[in-house]
Amino acid sequence: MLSKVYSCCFFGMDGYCVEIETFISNGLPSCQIVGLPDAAVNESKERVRSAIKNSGMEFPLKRITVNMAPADIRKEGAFYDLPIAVGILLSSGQVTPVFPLEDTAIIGELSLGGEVKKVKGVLTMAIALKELGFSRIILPRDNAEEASIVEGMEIIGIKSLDEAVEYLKAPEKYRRPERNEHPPEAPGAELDLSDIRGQENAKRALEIAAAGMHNIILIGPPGSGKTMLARRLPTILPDLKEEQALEVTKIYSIAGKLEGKSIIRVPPFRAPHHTISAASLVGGGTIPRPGEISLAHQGVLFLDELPEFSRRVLEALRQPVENEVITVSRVNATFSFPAKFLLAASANPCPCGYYGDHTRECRCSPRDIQKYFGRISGPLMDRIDLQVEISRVPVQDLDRRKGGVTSAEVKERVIKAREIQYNRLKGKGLMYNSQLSIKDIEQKCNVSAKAMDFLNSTYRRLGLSARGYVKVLKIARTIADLEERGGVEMEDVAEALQYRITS
Amino acid sequence: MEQDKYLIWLSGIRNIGGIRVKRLIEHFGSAKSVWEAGREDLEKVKGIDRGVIRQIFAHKSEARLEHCLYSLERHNISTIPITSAYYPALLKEIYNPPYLLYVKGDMKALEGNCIAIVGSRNASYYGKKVAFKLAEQLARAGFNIVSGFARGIDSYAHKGALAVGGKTIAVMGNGLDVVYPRENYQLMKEISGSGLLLSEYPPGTSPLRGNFPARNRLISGLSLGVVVVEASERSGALITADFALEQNREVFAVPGNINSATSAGTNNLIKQGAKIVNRVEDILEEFPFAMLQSREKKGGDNGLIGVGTGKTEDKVLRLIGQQPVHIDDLLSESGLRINQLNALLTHYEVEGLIQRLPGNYFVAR
Repeated sequence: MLSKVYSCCFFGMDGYCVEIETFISNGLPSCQIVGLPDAAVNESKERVRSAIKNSGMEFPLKRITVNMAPADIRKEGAFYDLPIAVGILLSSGQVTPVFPLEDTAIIGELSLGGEVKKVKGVLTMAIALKELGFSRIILPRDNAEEASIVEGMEIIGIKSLDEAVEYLKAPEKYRRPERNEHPPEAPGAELDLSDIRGQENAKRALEIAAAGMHNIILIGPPGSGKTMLARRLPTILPDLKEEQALEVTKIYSIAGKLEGKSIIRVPPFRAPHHTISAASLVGGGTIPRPGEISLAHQGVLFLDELPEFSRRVLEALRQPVENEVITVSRVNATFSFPAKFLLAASANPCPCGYYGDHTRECRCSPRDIQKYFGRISGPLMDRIDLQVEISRVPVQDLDRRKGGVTSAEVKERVIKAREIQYNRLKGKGLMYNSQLSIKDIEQKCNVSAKAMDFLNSTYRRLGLSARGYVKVLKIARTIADLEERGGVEMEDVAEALQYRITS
Repeated sequence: MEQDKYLIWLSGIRNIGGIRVKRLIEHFGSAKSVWEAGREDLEKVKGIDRGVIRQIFAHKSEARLEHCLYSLERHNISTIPITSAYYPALLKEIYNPPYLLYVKGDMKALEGNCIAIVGSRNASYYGKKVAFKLAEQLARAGFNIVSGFARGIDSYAHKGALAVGGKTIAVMGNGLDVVYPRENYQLMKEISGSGLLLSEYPPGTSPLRGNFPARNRLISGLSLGVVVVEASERSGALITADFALEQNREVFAVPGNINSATSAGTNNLIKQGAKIVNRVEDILEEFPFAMLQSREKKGGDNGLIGVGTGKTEDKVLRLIGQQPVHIDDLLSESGLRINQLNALLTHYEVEGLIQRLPGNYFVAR
């Protein structure tokens, strides 16, 4: 007998419908899965057999053929276990659903005992299924929360194969599990800018970075608080807007990193170690998965000790930093993941770490220093708008220095500045000042003649490059937005000029 | 001056220093006879053992000598044997003077009175500034400034002397055709124009580690006194100070902040009895003849370091003195907001009133 159930798979950021046909005929007992299954899918027959038997049903001792269509896309992952099991049960006549299954999709991984386990990418799949006209998804209970973001879909969260069968026989008995309302999440709520004493300059730079999504590098000796500062960056970022939140949640769903949350509203913060490979940073795998830069989408990617990252990894960053999306090409397809993130980096001023320090002597030659920073390529450095130096606060001075601004105050200013930018730039399809080109600055930024004169007369004196010139203007625009000024004034340019490195 | 090519050959042999060269020449009468001497003859000379003789023979190559002469000519390098009238008299007094000096530039630099200004390669802003100012003022007082052409203090000492049109001698630890450190290429050109490059090593010698302590004995040997501007506890400049004491030269040290690692060595020198230098007069008064000269040529500012700019009513500007101040301290003491302060600092910087140092420190210019 032939049966047909629907399931789903995802490629990159998109979900596709997969049709699973099961045919049982007389012959030598066997089970064949066809339709480009990968190893995990092929192994599913063992799990299915055991799960069916352990759920008190019978695995037919006949010739079973499972076909997954479309047959030309490679099927990956373990979430076809449940639909295959259901297909076999339907084919063998052990289960007769009381409603047609045409608008129902089934997703789930089985254990040998018949429990249904959580899978990755449910949100993406649910969104795709809705677009394809499905109205019901049977999926693991642990994924129900995540899928419930998609409105207008009936989400059936089940814990075992048994429950799934029960539902097919008597859907009216299904009890929707109580939605456990998550308290509004605020990871890192225990962190606050005011934890850091002194370093007002760096805090101001962080504020500017957050407001205009400017990439920032903090340069200072060990123990000066670079990491502490960067970790507080998320505390001053505004919450995600609805469509941003959905996009970010989709990425986390695919990566299987949702950890029970339904929707992510707080900008993510990712801090990969410097031994990371290029593939795990930008995304990779035979069927590519989002990398750290996509997990940092709409949030912060913090690269501590930037020059320690391998050259290859840093070069891989260039394209996404510029394009806000990462494209990974494979033989059978090209995958794109969004990657609009704020790059925050830290570095020592020299290999030994004490260049410019007033208490310890630096043992590096100018060549060593040049070599150290040479590891960060010019093109990457050019994309980092704010370059801030910080120095250690002597222990005896710590008491003297004040905590200063709190994250809440700064966040409020950042939200306002973002709003102003949004209103000014929405016609261009941009959101932040950091996305501006020199042409946009001329047209949209309203830089006063006096400010322009000032910059023109000083930038050569201070040894700025042409790129540095544009950076200063962008930062000045963000500063003016923070001050809620319509035009960019001389003072804004003067302040912007402080956020660069002295060589 | 006719160059004695055999002398160039003899003094270019590794492991044969000034003393052995002198012995060999005294024994044979001339460098040419040393070249012609056989093994048995050489063995008779005191202090010349088999190892040295092997070296002498290994080095005996017409082609190599010709090449050396060619590089001397090509790079415009002259030689001064110890017997020459040009050979600095003070240098002859030291224990182990080189038999042959290689020089490039203005030989007149060797005639005047010399003072050495030395210090760390990793110098602070303070040290560099003092080195520059001291060199300017000593040069104006008629001294020639000797230093080691290294990064940091040495380079600034040379630059200071050149800035006022004075003479300066760069004593190098490598051949005069080798540029080391590389970033001083421009400075090397300037010194070979209006000062003098000096080395005891033949052309082509690379800047080997071991050459530098030996070079330091020439720096002090050429000079009446050595001023150590800034030195950490293990700085090579302290070796120069040791040589100066051994050679009976004056040792001066510029005091520094007691917390500053780059001044630990100089502060120790002062503790041990080096003369403390607050003003250039502290140096000049040790050389009465120079005092006279300097009075004749008075001019320019004589203060070593200005005390703030003093001219301003501006609150923030007054906070920025000669000691680097951190931006956090400026912020808390000025009571300004960080954005106002940053804007203000840029203005000062553009106007040339202050200088920004690495790590967000600021000093008055």
